[in-house]
Amino acid sequence: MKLLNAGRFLLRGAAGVFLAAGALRAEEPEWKAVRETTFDLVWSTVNEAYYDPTFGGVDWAGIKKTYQARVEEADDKAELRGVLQAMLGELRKTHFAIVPREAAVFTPEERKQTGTTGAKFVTAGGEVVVADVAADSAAAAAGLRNGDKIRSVGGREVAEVARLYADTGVTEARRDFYLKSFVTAPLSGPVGGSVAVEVEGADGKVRTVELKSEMQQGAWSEPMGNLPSYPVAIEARRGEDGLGYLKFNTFSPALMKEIRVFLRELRTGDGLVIDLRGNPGGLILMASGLCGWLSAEEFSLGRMRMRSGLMNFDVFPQAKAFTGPVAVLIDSGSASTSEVLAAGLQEAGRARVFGETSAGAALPSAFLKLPTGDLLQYALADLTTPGGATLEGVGVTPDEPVKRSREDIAAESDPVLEAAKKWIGDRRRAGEGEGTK
Amino acid sequence: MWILIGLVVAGAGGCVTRPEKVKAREADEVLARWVEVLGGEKAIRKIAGVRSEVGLRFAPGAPELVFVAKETTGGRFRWELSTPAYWKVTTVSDGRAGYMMNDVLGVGLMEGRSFRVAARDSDPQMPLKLAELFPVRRRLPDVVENGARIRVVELTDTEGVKETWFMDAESGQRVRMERPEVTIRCSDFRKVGDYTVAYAVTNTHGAEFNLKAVSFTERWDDGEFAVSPEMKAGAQKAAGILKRHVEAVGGEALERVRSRVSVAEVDIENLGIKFDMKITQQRPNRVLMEHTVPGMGTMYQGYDGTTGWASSELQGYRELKGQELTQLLTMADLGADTRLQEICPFRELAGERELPGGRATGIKLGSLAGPNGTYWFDHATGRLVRVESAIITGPKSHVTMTLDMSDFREVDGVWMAFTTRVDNPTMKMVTRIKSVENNVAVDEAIFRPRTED
Repeated sequence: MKLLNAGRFLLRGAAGVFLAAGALRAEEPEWKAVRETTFDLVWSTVNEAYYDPTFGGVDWAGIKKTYQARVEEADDKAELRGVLQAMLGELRKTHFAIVPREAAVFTPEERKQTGTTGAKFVTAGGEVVVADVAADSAAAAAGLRNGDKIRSVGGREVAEVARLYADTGVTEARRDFYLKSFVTAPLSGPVGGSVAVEVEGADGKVRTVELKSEMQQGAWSEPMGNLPSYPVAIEARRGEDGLGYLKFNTFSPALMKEIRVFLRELRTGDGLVIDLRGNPGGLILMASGLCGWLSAEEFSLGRMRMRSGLMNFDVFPQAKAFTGPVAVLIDSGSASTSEVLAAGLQEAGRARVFGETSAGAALPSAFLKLPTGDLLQYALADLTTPGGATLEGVGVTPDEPVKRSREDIAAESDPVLEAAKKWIGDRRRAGEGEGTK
Repeated sequence: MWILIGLVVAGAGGCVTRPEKVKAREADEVLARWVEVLGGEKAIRKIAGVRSEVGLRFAPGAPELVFVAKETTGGRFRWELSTPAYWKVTTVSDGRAGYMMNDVLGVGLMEGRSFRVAARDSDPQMPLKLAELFPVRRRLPDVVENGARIRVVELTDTEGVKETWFMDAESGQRVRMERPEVTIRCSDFRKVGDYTVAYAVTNTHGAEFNLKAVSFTERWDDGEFAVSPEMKAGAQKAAGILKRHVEAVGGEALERVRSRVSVAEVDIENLGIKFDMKITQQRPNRVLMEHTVPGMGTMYQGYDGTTGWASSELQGYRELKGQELTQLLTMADLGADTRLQEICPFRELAGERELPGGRATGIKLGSLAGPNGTYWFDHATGRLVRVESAIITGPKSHVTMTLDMSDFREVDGVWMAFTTRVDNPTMKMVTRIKSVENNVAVDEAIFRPRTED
């Protein structure tokens, strides 16, 4: 079973809506039947699988009637998608989304068509900021620099969207998570496309740049059934000072071997930083697999409760596991499996968590192929920490809250990482190389 | 008298050589001494019933359960076991069959050899019936254990099954019984009135019986051993359905299957995931399951006779314990299909239902470990066609499921469901067998734990 993250697919879902709206008018004679079958499948799948039989107080049967009428007016796939997404939105939970087929990558050919600008973004102080620009990328060519603030994308103002999110009553962390997705989704469109982006530099000057999408370089995960393929990246290094640093962009099995090899190479007395900032999650079993290399004791990372049945995410200690001090870095871009791992290690006393409150978007989910070709992402279960704390809508609160400001980003300083390094240094000097348990 | 009976039986056979006669006589001398140290023939004959209160552990270190036994002659008994999970399990024997009863688990029918042995052992006058119960008795050479001389007697019962008793030469007490299925050790012998009883009994299944109190009676209310006709009918019907299922599977042919290699295509329909799974089984209990999920890596689960284990690229290596191990051992048991009666002693009829393949009768099956689920048997064929149960997905993890079986085909005389469909809240999974090979040579090494990635 695959249990997947919210973030990446919220992001891709949003991308599809933005890029495809109005462009996919369906003229097949069977449209009416496809529309009705799709609607029924989406509604009934949620009806059968939603982990809470009371739907959290939402009248799901009543919602069917309301949206059935609206679906009958959907003339094309984009409109249908909008109605279905709105219906799923009534649940007010993450991990319920319609992912447009065009936004999902399954084949090597589709990988070549999926673009990137080469820039990475973070949120700082409620704003979306450029955090890393790859050399020789479209973003570099357009003059983007670390610390640049994104004011608008494709003509839509970020501040206005931020206000809309705030009005829905979501947490700041969740707002920032959505806001970043709002900016990054249009920027990962088809290769050759471009989007106008209004940028405010560190000097306060505003400029508009045309950001082109170029072909993604690097590795991709393999598709897993209905779960699409996506780019994977990992940074795993051990400094001469014995400090290990592990950062990866998603919990993909494609990265597991490299992570395992890296963790096995850590030595007694070393320290480890796991940087989950900006990591929207992925395969949840990988979190427990990774933690098996970080503990000499069996423990649980969390618990998934379905309508009938439950599943623990147990950590099984591996031979020669690393038991030195571990710091986990999180921010509002850390979602789903990242939150499970951070909260689980935190609650077990196996790691100290640094940074900002995470997205609070943590529900195990699956993907179902719809008759329209789109994908339905739907949550299968509620998820709690071993102690019973809910992550959905709440997030993980760091043990040591540390913010990284726009100025820090512009100056390429990282106070979150520095705080973690200091704590690990203290622990190692105190001779507590056997972990925090 | 016991000597006389022994000689008569031996003589009636007409084929016992002189040395065998000597061995028989010597055996009976040892057994006669045992009767004497128990209290003597006269005292034993007076016992109409025994009431014992026992602290029972099913495994060393397991919680102690309260077990109360009331046993009388003629194989009649009433056992009451208080379990933490399912409260009280009562087993009543009317001498012909035993009926286990529990409010949650239903009714279980004890029959066959296990019942006959229980009925024999529970009879307080059993020491006086040895010649009748064990027509053949032989003295074997003595052994010395922990410095003590032990007299050894081999007894063969009316079904031809042998067991060996080990009697302490000094005390005359029976300290050990070796049976084909289990070895029982007795110790801490104490005098209670005219009788001597063992206060500590253990067996090689790990169970420990610690006698707390015992009393003897010369009269007993027969109502203690009564079973209602309805209960008998229900238990007999369930037992009949299970027996028919064994025939429908091809039970005898299955016994001839010593190993099996199956390859099946697994299709998790709602997730769009398809992969092949290979299962290798070898008697008595070896299994290896291996499959590669595209994008997720290769996973193994196995049991080598000692260790149940799982290994995957994602989660590394681990040993399986508890319910996970129990579930794996069921997979390892090639004969599990024909041993439902043994594995699930509790049964309760769950009515009839129209299933896609036809009308079926349901039986809720369970063991002392808890309910196993509801099993549905097809009226026309007698085959097991549906199981409503829970899958153990990890330590303390389970998911409810419905498993439907169809497309039955005969392979070497055994009928197998070539298509199974599992439906649970998280997945809809169809498994289609692509190939089955029975009695292939299997290298034992493949079942060993794969600790290296």
